[in-house]
Order: sequence, then C-alpha cells, then structure tokens
Amino acid sequence: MTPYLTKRLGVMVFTLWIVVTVTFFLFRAVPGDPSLVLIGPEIEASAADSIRESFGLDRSLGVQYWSYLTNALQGDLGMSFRYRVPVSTVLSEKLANTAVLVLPAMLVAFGLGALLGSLTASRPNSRLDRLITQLFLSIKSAPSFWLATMALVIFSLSLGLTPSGGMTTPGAPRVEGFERFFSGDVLSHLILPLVILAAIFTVEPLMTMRTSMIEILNDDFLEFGHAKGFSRSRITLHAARNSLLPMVSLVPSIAGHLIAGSVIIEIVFSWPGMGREIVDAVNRFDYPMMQGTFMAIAALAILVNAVADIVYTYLDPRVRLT
Amino acid sequence: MNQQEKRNVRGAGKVSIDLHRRPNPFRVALRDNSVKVGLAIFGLIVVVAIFAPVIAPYDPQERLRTADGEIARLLPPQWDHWMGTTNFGRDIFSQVIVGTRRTISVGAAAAFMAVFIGANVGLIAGFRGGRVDNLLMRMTDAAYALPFLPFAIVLVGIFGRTDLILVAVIGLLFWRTTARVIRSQVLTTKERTFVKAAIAGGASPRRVLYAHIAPNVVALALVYAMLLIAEAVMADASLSFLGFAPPDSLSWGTIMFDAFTSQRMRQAWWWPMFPGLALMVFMYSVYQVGRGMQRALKQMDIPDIGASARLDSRAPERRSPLAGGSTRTDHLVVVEYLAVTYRPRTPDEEPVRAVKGISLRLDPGEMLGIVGESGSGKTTAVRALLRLLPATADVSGAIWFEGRDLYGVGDREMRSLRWEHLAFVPQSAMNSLDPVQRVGNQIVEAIRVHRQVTRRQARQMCAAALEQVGINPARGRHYPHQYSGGMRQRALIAMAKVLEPTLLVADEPTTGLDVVVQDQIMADLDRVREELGTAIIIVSHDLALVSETCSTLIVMKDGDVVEAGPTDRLVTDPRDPYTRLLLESAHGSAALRSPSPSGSGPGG
Repeated sequence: MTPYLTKRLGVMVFTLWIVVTVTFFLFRAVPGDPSLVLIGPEIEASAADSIRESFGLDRSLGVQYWSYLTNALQGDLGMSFRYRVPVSTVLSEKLANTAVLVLPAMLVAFGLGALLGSLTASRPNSRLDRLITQLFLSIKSAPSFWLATMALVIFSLSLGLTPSGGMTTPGAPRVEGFERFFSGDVLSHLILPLVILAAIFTVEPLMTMRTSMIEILNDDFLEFGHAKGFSRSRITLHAARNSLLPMVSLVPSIAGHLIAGSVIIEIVFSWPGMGREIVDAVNRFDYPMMQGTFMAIAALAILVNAVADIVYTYLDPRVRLT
Repeated sequence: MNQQEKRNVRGAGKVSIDLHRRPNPFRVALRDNSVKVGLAIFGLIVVVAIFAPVIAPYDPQERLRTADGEIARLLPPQWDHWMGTTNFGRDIFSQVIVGTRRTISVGAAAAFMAVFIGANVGLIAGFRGGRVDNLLMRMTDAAYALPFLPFAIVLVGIFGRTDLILVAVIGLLFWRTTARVIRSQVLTTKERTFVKAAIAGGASPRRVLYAHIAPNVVALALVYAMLLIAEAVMADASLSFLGFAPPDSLSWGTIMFDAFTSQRMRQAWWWPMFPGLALMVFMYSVYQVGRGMQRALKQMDIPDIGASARLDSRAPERRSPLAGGSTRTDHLVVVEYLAVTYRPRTPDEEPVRAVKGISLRLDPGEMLGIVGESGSGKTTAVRALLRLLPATADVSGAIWFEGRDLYGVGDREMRSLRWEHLAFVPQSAMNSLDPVQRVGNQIVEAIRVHRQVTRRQARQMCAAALEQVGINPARGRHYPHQYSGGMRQRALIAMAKVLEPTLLVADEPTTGLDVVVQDQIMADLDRVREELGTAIIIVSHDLALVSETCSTLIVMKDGDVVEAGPTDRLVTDPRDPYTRLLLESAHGSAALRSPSPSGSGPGG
C-alpha cells in the first residue's frame, strides 16, 4: 500500500507541476506586451516600469519561472487588478462558495445514481427501468445552460418560488464565517442550482451502476449465490458492492464535468464561485485572477483524481498488492 | 453451462466472422430503427443549414416593425413569428434557422480535428508500443486531468475570440477519448494473422500501420467522430452561451447568450427556449446514430449479445412413467426423462436441444460420474438438477430430490434447501468467489444465511472446513486472487461441505489444474462422501479421473445418455462404441498420469 501511495502522490505532484508550468508559459504567450498581463493596462509608463521591476519582469525567463514557482508554492498568486487584493484571498472565498454547491451535488448524484441504478438493474427493461433511464437520458441530451436557464425562468422569474440568483438577498444581514452557509437565506438561494446540478450529474453514475450491475448479476459468483440459496436482496447487495468499483473510477471524470458544469450553473444563477470568477476575470482582462483561478481549478481536479485512485485501491483488494 | 458451451449454443447457425471481410458496421447499424430516426433528423438539420437563407422567412439581423410602425419587440410566438421575437425585434425562428450553420460547422470542424489527432495518437501509440506508447498515454492522462470548460475559457481569454481559436481549443481538448479507444483497437488488430503476415512479408512499418491496421480502425474512428460532433457542438454552444463566441456570430448558443444578458427573460420565456430545444433535438439525433453504430460494432466483435440470465422457477411438464410415489422416495435423487431446450433468442436462430430426455437415480453416499465431451449436455443436465438454468431454457421431465418434486417447491423453500441439502461446486472457481470479499467471510456468510449461529461459531466451522481440505485456516483472511487455482477449488469444496449437505454437485472440479492437485481434489471429495455420507455427482470430460473414485458412471453424447452402469462393468466391458473410444483415449492419458515423474498433465 505505502509504495503505491507514494507513487500515486508522486504522479499527482508531477501533473501539478506540468499544469503550473503550462500556465506560466501560456500567460506569457499573450499577444502584445507580456508584462501588461501581470501589471494591468491602465498604468503610467514610469509606474509600470517600477512595478515591472518589483515583479521581476525585467529579468530572464528562467529567473521569472523560478520565482513564479516558489511564489505559487507559498500560495502567492499575485494581485488581482479588479479587486486590488491578493488573488489567493479572493480565491479562498470563491472556493468555499463553489464547494457548497458542488460537493452536495456530487453526493446526491452518486447516491441517487447508485440507488436508481441498482433499482433499474434488478428489473431490466421493466416499465420503471425504461421510465427512469429515458428521463435521465433526455436530461443528458439537454444542454445544461438551457436546463438551468429554463429552470430559472420557470421557478424564480415566473413562479417566484426561489430567489432569482446570487447567494444572498441584497440588504439581508450578512453572516460571517462558515455559519453563513447554513442561514436560511443562503439555503433558499442554493436549492435551485443544486437540484439542477445534481440532476445533470446523476446520469453517468446511474447508467454506470445499471450496466455494471446487470453485467455482474450475470457473473458466475452471483449465480453461485443463487446456488448457495442466497435471497435476491442479498445477491443484489453483493452485486452493488462490486459495482462500486466502476462507480469510483467514474469520480474523476464526473469531478471534471462537475467543475465545468458549475461554471455554467454559477453564471446562470449568479452564484459567486470559482466558475463565475473565471468568466468574470476573462471578461475584465484580470490576468492574475484568470491564472490563479485556472490553477486552483486544475489543482482541484488533479487532487480529486488522486484521491479517487487511492480510494479505489481500498475498495478493490486486487489492485492493492500490485 | 460453461462459456464455451454457451457460445456453441448461441452461435449455432451463425456465420463466423472473418476480419478481412467483416460486415459493414454502417449497414448493421442501419437495421436499427432509432438509428434511422436519428439519421433522418441529422440529415434534415444539415439540409436546413445548407439552405438556411432560403428557408428563413426574415433576415435574422433585421429589426422588424409591426403594422403600426413600432419595433416588434418581444412578441410572443404567433402566426408570423412562431418562435416569437427578441428585444430588438428580430425573428427568433429565422435566427435559429440561420444559426444552424455556424453551430454545425464549428462543431463538425472541431470534431474532425479531434478525431484526426486522436486517431493518429492512438494508431502510433498502439502500433509502436513501448516507450512511445508510454509517453503518448501519459500525455493523454494529463489531458484528462484538465477540466475542459475552464481551460477553454482561459485559452479563449488569452488568444481572443475567433472561430479558429474555438475550433482549435475544442479540437485540442477532445482528442483524448478517441486516442484511448483507437489505441486498444490497434493493440488487438496488431495480433491478427493478416497483419503478422504483412510484417513477415517485409512491408514497411508505415505501410503496415496505414494500409493494414488503419482501415480496420476507421469504422471505430467514425463512430467517435459522430459522438464527438455532439460533444463539440455542445462545447461550442456552452462557450457561446458564456459570451466567448466572436462578437457578430450567430449560433444557437449566441441566441441564448443574448436572451440571458437581455434581462428580459421574465417576459420572454420563448427567447431562450427555442434555440435550446433545437440544440436538444440535434444532440438526440447524433447520440442515437452514434450509439447505434457503437452497438453494431460491439455485436460484430462478440457473437452473443448477453441476455440477462435470470432463473426460472416454472414447473416442467410432468409426464412421469413411474406409478405412485413409492420409488421416488426410495432414492435421494430421481431424474426422469429430463429434457432441456434453449429457446432461440432471435427469429433466425434454431432452438437447441441440449438434453434430450435422460433418467438417473442416486442413493445417499453414492458417487456418480457424468462423463462427456463439451457440448454433450452434461453441464446443462446438472444445472437443471440444481435449478440454475437461465430463463431461456425450457425444462421438461421430473426431478425428485429427497422425495420432493424439485420443480414444485417454492422459491423460498428452494433457497432453504440449497446448501443445507443441495450444494454445488461450480466450474469456474476463479469467477465464483466474490473478488472483493475475504474467502473466510464468504464461507461464514454462506453458513449464517442458513443457520442461526453466532459469527464466532461460524468462524470455527469455517476454519474446520478449510483445515479438512488442507488449507491453513489463517488463509481465510485472504482474498480469492491471493489463492492458487487449486486452493480456490478446495476452498469451494470447503464451502460446499461446511453445512453437511446430502447432495454435492461438482462441475468439472479439476479442469485446468495440474495432476497432483487434481488427485488432491478428488481425494477431498471422496473424504466428504465418506465422512458425511454425502452423495456426490462429478461432471467431467476426463473418464480416467472419474473412474478412479466414482462407483457409477454415465456417459453422455449430444444430450443423450450413451451408456450407464457401475464403473467396474463399464470400464472392463463397455458396450457402446463411443464409451470404448473414450476409454481408449483415457487409457492413453491414464498411462501418462499415474507414475509420470515429469508431472505434466493429461490433455485438457
């Protein structure tokens, strides 16, 4: 286990390094004066020179790369043009906001997917099976931004059931710290984006669970379960335990999709998270913010990948010793 | 029924597949109705894209005016504008029609770029193997780690909002799936005879790759191109919706972007609704076609489609020649005129009569061997006896077990009969144990399902059973993959005997094991019979092996019993020519097996 763990963590660090390096060179490939990217366009020439010096932009690319790398390691991602505060400060708040949306959505998607997947797999081609799979397949072929927009139009703009976006009602007393996520106001803003996000992401776990359950229910060891006189529910339980493996291997791709999906959902519902931030940063040419947000999102995806791989080895003993 | 037999049954009457002239996957896919519908919709959308300016009733950018000269702002769907109008008085229907052009062309261009890159990476990685493969696959892994949408947004943010950048970004990010799939296809194609022949014939690597391997991978690449068009269109639409399309472009995504940023969606629900619906219909059609082609390719690779094999508890027709119930209760097992027919799963297949009416009797403590080649129906026969046949099997005749009509008992009673009375050692020891559970726990579970004992007692029973088949009880903590083949088989025997059943059926218990282990397994089974008085049925193709331990033998061929009788008589004085044939080949291998110091097994 331990050698595997070290190896997997090594791969993770390596991928992170690649992403950080690619980002460094990407942002220096911006057409025009690259230093503008890091300083901001609306600054006088003399001031720009001194800032350039303080950023080290007058030095060689190698030196710049090294200081960029060491700064990034310490969490120093530069100053945001727009907010005039360190990027990391803005990011930590946005990250928490996104997590509040994405983590519950992921839990619901996998829980509901596993449940409905085993339900439909135990009676393939029944009316219930067809109803559930068709419903979620049509959700899958609908564009997520369209689903979200229509939900917004119907439930908040027309029916007025939920707030029309944002995370809090303007003017409402602001709660600080972690408790803010549990205020009724935030929860009422959260409900619609969460439901949409979860509905979109239930499809993959559901179909994976269903397919692998059907396959495993035909496997020799489950037929052997019948021979042992096990009840149907006990056999289904064994199949579900074995189907968890493909489910776990689904986590990375879902996590990637969720992060992408959250960009759309955050835009539609004006949710102040990382996804909305990256779009805003691009629209306002806030390059340090763009760079920082992108690196944070990529790091998150890589981390989730690594964790999923490690969890997989715990669930599947066959991988453990190899 | 083992895999091989399944194949035989299902594959009966089917043409074998020659890879050189494999059936055209597109033709196969076109038999599917959903593919036809999908293709029709897809074709229609393409036609609309081509003739868009002719079809659109208005200029999509024109600000229309109503009869009284006002700008036709936010008109709800009506006869003249059946998708309504926008904030600026533009006809949404015309916008959707003309928007088809950019939506599809950007999507298709990006998809073909992605497939081109992916197919080449996959071809080279799969063909070259080794370090090149390793490097390319690492790159693919890294590409997987990057979340698509944020990366695309950043790239567009850096390089600007043009169609070329959009196509390049989507193409560069979507090649990874194709690369993986093509690579694994190349790996299998590489091993085919005609490729080896081409290499042996001195063809250059480039020629082998592009002239011999690539054509076999093209169908798959096209399937992925189809699915990728859907993904690429969706990606482009998402980026357009976020406002990253070039400023003056018109596509379904940009119509929605305009609607969303107009702040007028409260009044004008139709504005975002119709372009989204158009996108949905398009996605649906492409998915239908892509999935249909995937299915077609899969069917051509594997002859059987894998129907769900559920257990059937229907009672067989009872036409018993025995009068009264007396004789039936005299024996442990009475089988009369057992016949099993597999129903065809498609209209052009013939039903397969796997067992054609066999009868047998078994007493407590007796050991019966059923011998025959694969396809002789021996496995089907004992599976019928265990009520483990798939739903496609029609069973007729009668099976009496401990005086009960085995097909007359309910599911619940059948479950309680299993293992306590009727235990089974399946053929595939590797696949019959749950790979993610410790072996000991699996035995404990089997005990506790049937008996009210504490976990501790069950553990002790399990340890004792393992010890009796020569497995150190401490190894019960291990997982099946940590066992050797022989140990797995012996663990299954331990599991089967732990509740002291009256009948134990072992299906090919020694196949694939070496001679020493074969003898150990047979000795284990014989000890179970001696100690517990359990009757045992052993199904095998190895007459020599079975004749050493079984007191009675049944020889089967083509679903019929050829000869049956006490082992001594059958071995010394076979009456049927087929039995004689089996004996002769068995003598050959028997001569090999007993004193052979080399330890090489008889021909499997």
